[in-house]
Amino acid sequence: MIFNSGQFLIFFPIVVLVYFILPKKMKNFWLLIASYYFYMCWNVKYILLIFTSTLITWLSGIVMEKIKQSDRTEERKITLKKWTVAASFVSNIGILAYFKYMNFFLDTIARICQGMNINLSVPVIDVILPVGISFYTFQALSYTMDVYRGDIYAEKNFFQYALFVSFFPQLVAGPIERSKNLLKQLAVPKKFSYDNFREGFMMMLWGYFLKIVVADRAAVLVDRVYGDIDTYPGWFIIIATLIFTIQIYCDFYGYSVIAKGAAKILGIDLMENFTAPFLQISIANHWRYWHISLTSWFRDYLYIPLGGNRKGKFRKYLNILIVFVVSGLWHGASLTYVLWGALHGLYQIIGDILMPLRKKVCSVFDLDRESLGHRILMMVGTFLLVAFGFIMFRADSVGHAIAAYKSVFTASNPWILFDGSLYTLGVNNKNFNLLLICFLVLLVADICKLNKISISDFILKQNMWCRVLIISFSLVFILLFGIWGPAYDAANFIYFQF
Amino acid sequence: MIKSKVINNFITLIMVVSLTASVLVRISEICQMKQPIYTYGPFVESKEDTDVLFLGSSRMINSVFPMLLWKDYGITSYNLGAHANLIPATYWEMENAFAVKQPKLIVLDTYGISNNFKYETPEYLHSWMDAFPLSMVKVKAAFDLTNDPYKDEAISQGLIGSDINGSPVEFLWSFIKYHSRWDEINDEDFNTPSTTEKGAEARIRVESFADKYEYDAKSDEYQLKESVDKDSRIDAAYVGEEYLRKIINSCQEKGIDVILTYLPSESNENHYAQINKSMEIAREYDVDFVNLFDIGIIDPATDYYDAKHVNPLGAKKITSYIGQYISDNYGLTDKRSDEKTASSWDNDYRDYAYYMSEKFAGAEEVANALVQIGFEEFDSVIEVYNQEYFNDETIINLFGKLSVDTELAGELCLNAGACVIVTHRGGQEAEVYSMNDIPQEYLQLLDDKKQEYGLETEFFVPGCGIRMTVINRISGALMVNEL
Repeated sequence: MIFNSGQFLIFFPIVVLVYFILPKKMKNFWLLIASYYFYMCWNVKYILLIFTSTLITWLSGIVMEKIKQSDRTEERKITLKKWTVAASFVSNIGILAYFKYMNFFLDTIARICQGMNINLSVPVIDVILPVGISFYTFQALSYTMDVYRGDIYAEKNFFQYALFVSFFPQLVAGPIERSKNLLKQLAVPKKFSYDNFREGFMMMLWGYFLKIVVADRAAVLVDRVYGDIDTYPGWFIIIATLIFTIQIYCDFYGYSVIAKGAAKILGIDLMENFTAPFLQISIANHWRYWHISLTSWFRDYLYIPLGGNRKGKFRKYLNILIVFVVSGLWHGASLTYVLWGALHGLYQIIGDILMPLRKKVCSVFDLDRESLGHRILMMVGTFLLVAFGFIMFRADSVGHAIAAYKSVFTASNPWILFDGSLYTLGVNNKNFNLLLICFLVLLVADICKLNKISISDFILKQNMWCRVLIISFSLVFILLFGIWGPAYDAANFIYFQF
Repeated sequence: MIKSKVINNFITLIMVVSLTASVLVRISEICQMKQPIYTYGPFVESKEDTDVLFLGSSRMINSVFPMLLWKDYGITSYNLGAHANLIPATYWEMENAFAVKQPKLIVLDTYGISNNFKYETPEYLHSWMDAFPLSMVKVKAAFDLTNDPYKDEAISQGLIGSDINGSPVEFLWSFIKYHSRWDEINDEDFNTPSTTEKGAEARIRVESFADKYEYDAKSDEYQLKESVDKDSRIDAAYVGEEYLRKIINSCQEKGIDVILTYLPSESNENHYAQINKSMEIAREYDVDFVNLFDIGIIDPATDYYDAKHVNPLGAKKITSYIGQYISDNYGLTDKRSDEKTASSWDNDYRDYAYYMSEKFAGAEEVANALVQIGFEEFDSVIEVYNQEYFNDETIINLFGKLSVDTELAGELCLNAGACVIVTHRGGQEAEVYSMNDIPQEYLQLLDDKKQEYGLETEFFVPGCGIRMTVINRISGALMVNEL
């Protein structure tokens, strides 16, 4: 079940209510049952996969703990632990690879063979991609690494560990939690806290606003344009891409905030996943604050093990490229994602190479790099670079992306910005204007976040009547303007003509 | 201290919930589609008794005019026909109606008895369900109708889209569907008018099916050119039949009489299979079946809107027939003598007459305007300046329905370039004049009306193909239509 479904709105209050009623010993067990039920709502068979990943990584921790406590030499212990980590990684990545990437790999091999005029019959594996497999696999593997590094002790309670892997608020769309943070919190079941409830509820409201008011509304326009770029060329694609950039941010950020809010109500603090990524002044900074849980995972478990920036400039750039290509692949089993990732890798490499030149230019022309004007320029530039990359991300195929890029570079229809054409893309003028207002609200919220101003704290400090008005208004606003419920189309109501 | 904080928090929670709920209730009312309220609101909200309910699909909506039943027979009725309503949906509409008020008699069109779906689309279901208040009956209706195994199977086979089946919740709180109407909100959402037609809808258009018939000298009747198997039968049991039985059972348990009927139609379907099945069930339950399909009162040349629906000319005949049938067989009180009821219904009739004259004024085609002139409260003066109208068979037929001597009128137009036709009481009598022979009383009448209403119209002066002036004898209002 997804967060913006009627099912979840019934499921979640029941889970919360029962959690706080149950005695301490039963609370986590209840959460585990609820989390597995949550996951089974997609497909009952998925449960075997998450259970398998859970078992393998839990056992890896137990085994490494036993190795640590054994009488073997340190060198032998390290070797055995490495083998344990390898086994955990190979098996879990293997499962992930099979379910998510097998058809992609086979298809890629087929295309290469075709290009080399080799006739090769490649099977198509009929397999459904399990929801959230990328998230919980990475989360489970991070545990293996953390135990290996000695950052945490192995969790002996299997059910507790299973809850860590399957904790439903962040199971299918993150944030990818670290065992140090989440396992520690789950070890101590919580009592009901009204403050947690208020904070969590407000987070969820904000998340629903981002997801169903902003992202899902933007999606209507973006899908229309990208669904037919021949009919909507040039500036249509430019506008749709800019809107898609915000759409995907709101979609992902919204989901993360709902997850964070839901966990907060249960007394659990999940990590922040987005911190004003589009108000950053460089691509490198953008990635520090975009999907933080994934970026930090790759930093800690891929980039640093590869050597990071400790082995010379060339190796650093190669490592960056590898990380971003893998990151692209993580997002989806398609060449478009790989190329998108690679593009961001190139952005960072080029940005790093050109840094001395940029500093020199600023010095020569006496440009204050810390001035507001300069920072805004950098922010806009970063946003445009990210948006440019999202063309590849959004396209259905590489060919589709190339066609879109060509159309963008030869755009010659700027009048569509003024002649009302933008209101013909599935979103009428009122909805389009509402979208713009929402973008403004998002901008203000991110500016506050960047400057460490907590809007929710500000609201919660107000008088009761003020809080009541704000919360009620927010609820009504989301329900009224959100894209949810059975589709309404005025054309379907012309029944009186029959 | 802690206790007061808990109380404070609890009060805050209650206030948020209460305020949000109150606002949502009001917004829900505003966002809701107004068509159901417009059509069925007067039935749901009125405290007056209604003796007869008419049920079925759009065939019923267009076939029976409750206001004419009132005027001619003193029968209080409401037309609860709903667009594309299948019999299961009609059953639940009836049950919802009974929760509001119980009639003495229902008249049900049994078209759709051989259908397995429970309803057509969610939108059609909303078209009547949204008018009824939330109740246990409505909850049962929502869950039963959306539990449609035949539809689910059709969806799984890809025969129909998945959006054809709605969720029960959208019918219990229509805000779920209509909240996205926020960008269409207009004045009518705050000040919703109500129908004056008591649920009926006069559909103004003429489609002739005369070509399907030929005159049979032997029987002195018009017979269908293509033969039809009148003994056709339905062998399987359909969901439509199951719910027809439920309708009859429910009525009989409540002591409500039932008339089953099958309305006229020119569509190419196996009507006789459904008619025969309906007759069989009627016999089984000892209820009346009135076969309006075969009764021969509908003129295929002038009385149809389209193949499935009659226009007001056809509706008048059906209404008259069924009204007489009810009066003769069901002993319902003629409430024209009941002062309280008559006062209210006569008032409604005046509004209805005014509405019909406005509808006439809005007609954009001659045939459509002529269909409406047949309303009994209308006297009319028709100036014809184009002889071509008397070469059009449909228009000739329509003039014929208004008792007009079309030969004389056509001759005058041909020779003198124009003629004037005066009809009385919706065409019960008519006179034809040349432009030079128009009686002074009519000239004076129109002149007086012109002064009274400040009209700029120049009567009896060419300037259009046809000028139709209708005087509503109840209100005295005058409507002009120049085409």
